[in-house]
Amino acid sequence: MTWREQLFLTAVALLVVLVLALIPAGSHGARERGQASPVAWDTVRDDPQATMDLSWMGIIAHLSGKEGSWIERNLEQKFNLNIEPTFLDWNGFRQRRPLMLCGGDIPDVMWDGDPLGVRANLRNGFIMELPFEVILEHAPTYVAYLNRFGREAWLYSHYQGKNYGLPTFSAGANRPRISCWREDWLQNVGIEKVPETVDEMHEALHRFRHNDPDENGKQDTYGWSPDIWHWSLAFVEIFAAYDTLAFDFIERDGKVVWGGILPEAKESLTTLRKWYDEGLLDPDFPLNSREAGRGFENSKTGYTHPVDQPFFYDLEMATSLASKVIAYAPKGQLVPGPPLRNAQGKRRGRTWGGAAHVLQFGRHLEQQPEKVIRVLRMMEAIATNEELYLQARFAEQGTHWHYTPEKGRESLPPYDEDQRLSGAELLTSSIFFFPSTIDPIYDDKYNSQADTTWHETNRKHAWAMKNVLGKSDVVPSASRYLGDLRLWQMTVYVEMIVGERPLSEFDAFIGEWNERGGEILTAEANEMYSQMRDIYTRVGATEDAQ
Amino acid sequence: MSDQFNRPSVLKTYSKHSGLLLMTLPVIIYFLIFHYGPMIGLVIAFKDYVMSDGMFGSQWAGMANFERLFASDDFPLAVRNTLTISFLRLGFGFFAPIILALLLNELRLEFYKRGIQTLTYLPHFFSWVILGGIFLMLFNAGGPVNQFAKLLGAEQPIAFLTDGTWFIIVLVATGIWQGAGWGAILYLAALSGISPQLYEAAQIDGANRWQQTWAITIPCLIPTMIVLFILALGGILTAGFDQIYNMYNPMVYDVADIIDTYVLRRMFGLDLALATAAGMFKSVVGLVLVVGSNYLARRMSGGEQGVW
Repeated sequence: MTWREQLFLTAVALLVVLVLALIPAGSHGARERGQASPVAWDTVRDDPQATMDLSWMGIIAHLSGKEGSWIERNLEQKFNLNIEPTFLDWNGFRQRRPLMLCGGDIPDVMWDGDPLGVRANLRNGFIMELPFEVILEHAPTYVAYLNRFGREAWLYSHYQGKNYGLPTFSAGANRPRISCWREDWLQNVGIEKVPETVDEMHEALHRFRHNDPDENGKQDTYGWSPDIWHWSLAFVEIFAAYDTLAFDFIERDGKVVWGGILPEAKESLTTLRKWYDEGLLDPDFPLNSREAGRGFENSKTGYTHPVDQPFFYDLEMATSLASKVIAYAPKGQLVPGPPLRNAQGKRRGRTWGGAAHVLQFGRHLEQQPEKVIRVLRMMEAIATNEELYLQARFAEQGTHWHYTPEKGRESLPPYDEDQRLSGAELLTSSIFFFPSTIDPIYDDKYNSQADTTWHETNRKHAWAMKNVLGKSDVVPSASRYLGDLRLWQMTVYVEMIVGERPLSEFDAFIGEWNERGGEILTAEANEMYSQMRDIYTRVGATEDAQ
Repeated sequence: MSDQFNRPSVLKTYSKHSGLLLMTLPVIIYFLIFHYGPMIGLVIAFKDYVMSDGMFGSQWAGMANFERLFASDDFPLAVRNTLTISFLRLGFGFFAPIILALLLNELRLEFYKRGIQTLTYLPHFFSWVILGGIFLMLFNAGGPVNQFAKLLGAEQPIAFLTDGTWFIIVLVATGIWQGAGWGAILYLAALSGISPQLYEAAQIDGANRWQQTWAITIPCLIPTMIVLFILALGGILTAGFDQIYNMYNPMVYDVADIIDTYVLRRMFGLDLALATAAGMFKSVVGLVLVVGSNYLARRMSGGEQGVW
């Protein structure tokens, strides 16, 4: 080949590659960041009579959700909207959504569960600023409930002094998460009451291992197979009993500290190390990441966490925990295990708290800010009107569901049986459009008396412990350090519990934790903590009600 | 004398075979669209990538993403783990299909040979989601393997899945089990290409089967082995994401967190620039290894061996 020919062929190849690469880029178009003028909110007027198109990517939902459900039609009619919903399941949220956003397909309203997600959306120019004052002006009742039930959520939508979306809350989530025991096993080993302290728990687990609780003549049971698939579950009941949360920021003497490097965490690990050594914990628990609760279901263990709702105990429901246990052990009986008592005798249990997620608004709405106002007004209307609230969450009373004092709120046929039908009519997540739950004001009235008593007995608000910032991810360097640091901490903890790493290395662990970014995160958390007070003052959330 | 006087020019050759070229066109277009086109996306490894600004609208960031990558505690560890697992896979796994193919080649009963071949390459078609679950069950502390070890007198269950060293052994061994049968197919094809005359000549000279294997079969397989080895080197920074992701647990993160699991975590955080930088690092290392090993193979064989 001559050099001319070589040159020619190379040039042709390069040209083809360049043309191909530029085709998608051309349609994308480069937008200037930070150039769009901020909205002059004072002058924005929303005419409630004007019909408005609204694309809506709500909370992760089951894919059987369809456009045109009763709930959607109802809201469309009442608020003059034409909603175009996008339903994503968990995989779709993680995989399809980034592609949609990258391709410029940004919805008007977009849910995100995680402060880091909000930051990523902001960094990538997908979402717009929404000043606190605008929310306060158009949705004062909503804000009042938010401030009362989940004010930490203001941090989730906050970045460098500005607010980027509507924080959401889940009032029911303020109750602590609790555990579940095999009642028949406790009786079989001669224990009368559900364990209330770490020592009583130890005694029960010990007998579960050594006193043949399933009465089959073999030593084939363990006390507990701890779930470690998510840090928020890992040994959390033990840490709480020692007054710490190992994977959260908590307050100590006015300062924010990481609960996992406190002496209380070491005490908890010492206890767990002893339990593991005595054979009380299933030796395969480190593999539990994908089999949450399986050992409890098939009668290998007699204790599990978390089991938070009365329906877990419902034998009429084929998929309930109680039904699954019965399938293996016909005599199996379950009993709720409220949080353990700490050294002072007070029950302590972790909760996520009422602060939930963020509903963000696409950056393109800077050109149509009246859409934001309409959504805020819709939120306000739903929050203030019980009938509308129930319709937005569960569809129509009398058609789709009814209430009886014995059973509480129940789906009516055919929506109680046919999942596809109920998916099409009612959506699959009751917080898809109205993203918050105001349980004590509305939902709880439609619980059965038994359920209300169950929650009041087993999950008292006063027992709850939560992250002082709601979610640790709100600190600015979280995306850089927090995820990897949590994984590493989990590894160290599990190694200490199974004896692969001596507990005497706990101090070295603290040093390394700080070096790996923990020190930076803690400093930022304290900074956020002081900013949080300012935000609370701005939005009028000066008291933590629950 | 220069070459160009003897050979027709390339363009003339092309026009002479235009029919054949036309037939390769779809393949060329496929590669341009799906393999060369997307490479332009590598620019975001050098950008402060903001999605709404697009690939070309985002600001240049120089090597900042790569600096960020190597400054983190976890990426260098992930590279080390990836290399460890890959070299073990290569060291132990490379010869497994060859041995299997040689063994299969010696079988005379056709249906038995086909049966064994099917059984050995079947695992290739199972997803690691399923296989991972099966192996977790087999190797856990109360699982069948440990029950067997207990029968043989082991006092403590062996921590196959939670001890770093054991985990890597299980990983490599099960990986070989899954891939050897599939890998043997290429070698079997190469074996069937060896001329029977060579064996006949050797038999006349009185060579036994073992000698025939050493003197004929293995030398004839070497070109295939070299090509596959070079290609395997290209994937040295790919340690088998599917398998690891479905089998690892917090106790073995320090040995099993590989580049791909690291990149996945960054992707979920929408940190595409960092993920791209990590991916590009993998590809560049792979390319250097492929080109380098091909060059060496050609040098050492006097230009006869190698991929190109």
